[in-house]
Amino acid sequence: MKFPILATKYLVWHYSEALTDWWRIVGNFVWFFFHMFSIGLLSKTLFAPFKRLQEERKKGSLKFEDWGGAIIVNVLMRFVGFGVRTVIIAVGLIFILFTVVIGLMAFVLWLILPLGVAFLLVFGFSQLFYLL
Amino acid sequence: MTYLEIKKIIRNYYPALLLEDLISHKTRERLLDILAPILFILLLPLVAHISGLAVLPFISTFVGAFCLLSAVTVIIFMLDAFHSSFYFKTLDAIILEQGIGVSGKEPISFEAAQVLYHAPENDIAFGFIVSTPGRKILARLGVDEKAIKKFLNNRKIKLSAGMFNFQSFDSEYGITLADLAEVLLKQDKEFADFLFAQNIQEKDLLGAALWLVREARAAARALVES
Repeated sequence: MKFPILATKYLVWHYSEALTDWWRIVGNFVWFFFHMFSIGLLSKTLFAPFKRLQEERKKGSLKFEDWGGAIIVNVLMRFVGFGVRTVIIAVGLIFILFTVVIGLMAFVLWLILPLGVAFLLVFGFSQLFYLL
Repeated sequence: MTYLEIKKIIRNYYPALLLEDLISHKTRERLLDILAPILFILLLPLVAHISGLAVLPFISTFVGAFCLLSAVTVIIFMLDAFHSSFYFKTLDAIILEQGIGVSGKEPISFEAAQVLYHAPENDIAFGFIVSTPGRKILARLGVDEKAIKKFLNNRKIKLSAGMFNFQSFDSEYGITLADLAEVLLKQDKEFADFLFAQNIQEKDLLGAALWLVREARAAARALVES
């Protein structure tokens, strides 16, 4: 009597609690990669200068070399910062994308797993006893 | 917490307890240890046959055996996932701040639930002593099997479900085997006297119970991670 009860309980769990747990696990991985690559923080500071390297403009001076150099260096540092952050965000997003894709594939596999087991059993028996 | 309240909490574990009765965690682990190398050995000639490196005379027998053993392995894997889902629920409940646990419910460890599930309602101490974790704890403390048998046969007052009152001594980790052992020691005087006669103090019993809890969790985690 215990076996049919267990089989029923298992199937109910397989298609209910396990599925919600599955997405919780995938969500944990997405959360992990999002924070590991600091995607939120890097997006907020996307145009900030690289490593906060900035050139201070000399106050009161109107000479081009005094303010032109500062502008060029600051714009350059912002471009470098933008480039480095974009690369890190892109790598992080690729990791998240892979996690979601693998999660989806494993999810589909999980859905058909009981059928797969049934197929393996039937096919295995038929091969073993030359039924097919 | 009364015995009835504990029974209600234990009901959440019922599917995993049922699984443990039918095919235990250890049996599943042993089966996987046996099946994995057999599957690998069967796989090698099959790959050789498919890639044309060798021609097997009984290919369908090989394929059949491989499929059947693969099915059994997958079933064991699925049952392990099922068991872990319930086993680690207690640990989830402990980390309520993560929004995973069930608020308002004091968690109970799987081992403690397993002991109380099998314990007869008219004799909780007996259930603890004859259970696998209980036997391990007493063995760890160096209590002789004969002495245990003698004690069980000569008891006069038995701790029944009605007399049983439970509370977790460590709210951080919920009710564990160590809590159960401590409650039995405090509420079953004959059990306490028996242990005292064996030169076992309260801290020794708690230490042995905590050791078992740690061992069981490490084993469960190792199985999940493998």
